[in-house]
Amino acid sequence: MTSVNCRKIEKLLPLYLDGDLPDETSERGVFSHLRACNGCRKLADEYRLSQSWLRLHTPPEVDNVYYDQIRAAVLEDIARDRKTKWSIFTPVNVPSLYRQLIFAASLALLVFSGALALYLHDNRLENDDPQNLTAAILADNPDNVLTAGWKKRIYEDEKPTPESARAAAAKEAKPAFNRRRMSVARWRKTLKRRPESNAVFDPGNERDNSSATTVASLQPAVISGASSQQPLRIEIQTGDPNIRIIWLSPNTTDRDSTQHIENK
Amino acid sequence: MPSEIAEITLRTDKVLLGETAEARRDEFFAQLVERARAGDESAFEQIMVLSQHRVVRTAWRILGDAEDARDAAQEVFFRVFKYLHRFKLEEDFNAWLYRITVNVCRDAARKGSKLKNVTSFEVERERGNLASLASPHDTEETTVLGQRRAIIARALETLSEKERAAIVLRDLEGLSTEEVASIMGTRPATIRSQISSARQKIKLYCDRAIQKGRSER
Repeated sequence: MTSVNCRKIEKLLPLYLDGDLPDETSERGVFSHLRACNGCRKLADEYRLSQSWLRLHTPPEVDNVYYDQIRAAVLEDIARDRKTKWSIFTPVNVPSLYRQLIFAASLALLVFSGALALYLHDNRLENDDPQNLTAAILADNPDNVLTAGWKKRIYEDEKPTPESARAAAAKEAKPAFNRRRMSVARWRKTLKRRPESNAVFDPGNERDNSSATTVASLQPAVISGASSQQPLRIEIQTGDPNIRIIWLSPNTTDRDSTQHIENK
Repeated sequence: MPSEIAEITLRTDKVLLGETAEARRDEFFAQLVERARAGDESAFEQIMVLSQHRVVRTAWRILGDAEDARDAAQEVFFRVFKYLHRFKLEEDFNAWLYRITVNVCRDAARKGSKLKNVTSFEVERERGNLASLASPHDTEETTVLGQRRAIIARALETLSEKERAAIVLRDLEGLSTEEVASIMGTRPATIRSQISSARQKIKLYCDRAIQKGRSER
């Protein structure tokens, strides 16, 4: 027999001797080779010897006390486990019906909690709804100075407060004067044309290096006297803490003159 | 001819009786398991009594120490109690028990039992561990037997935990390759590979022990 075959047989021998080869073809092949090859037959005998020694590996004889100690320790562990914790997954002492009832109750509680949380969340959203804010502001503002653009802005805001909504309404109601860029000189010219106005501030619409303030960046104002009977006073705080715009209008007809200024 | 027929009938009866006895035993065991799952502690104790020898023997063969085997057996039965509700009655209880035993022994080995102290045959002989197995009152045969057992015990310690479990279940517990694969949660081909490797290592260890013994004489 060639040494190549012997090398193959050597690998199969550990499984062959106890009938662990996966197929009969391999078994027949090893059997045939062993009949003809003395070297592999000797190797097979060595494997048989080591296997016979392996079967000597038996545990020592122990008395019944050994086993009694094991059982007692197990029962003690079980009793301790029952005392320390109770679980719905306890295997033996809780009937399956109770476990099912407990599981169903837990599930119902979970569903109820989720529904309650959802209800409370929806309720909170309803109170903060911009439409409700709009209705509140409309109730305060009978002149209906709200424009469609302002409403749109309200809805687009994250969570508009009543104060910011009123400020936005006033801003919308005001002429575009404060939102348009005007130089200081031009603004002063408008003041000269309109001596009755009490505007005391030059908005400084052009950006300059010192303040870098534009009308577009002005903060919402405090609005008072929005009705046609009272003079309208609007205060706007700019980004520069030292500069504040105060607009006073004695009556609603001032809007025509401010429109005139805006167009300038 | 009549004697041949009688012999065949007797053999057949024995086989039938054997099968019947085994079936009755399985049925009895299934009833015990069902009662234990329902909360009957006496049924669980009976299960322990019927399977304690197998569990201790397997644990000792894997771990190699009586104390470790006792601790492992205790843990095995505790897990049997804890997870008995997961056992399906149509499954083989012995296979399930073997699976738990192998897992517990693996955990014990990883925690640092004596198996970690793997030493070579030469070191053990230098320490005199092999010679101490013999006593003046022993016969030569007993001495030789003791030495061979010690050699095998050391040879098993050189195996990996998977090889050791596979060889114990296959060669010492007598389970088939398919049963061992099912217990260890792997394929039969993998088990054959592990068994082949384990047997080669044991054979090499025994060869070296024999050669050393001859050279000393």
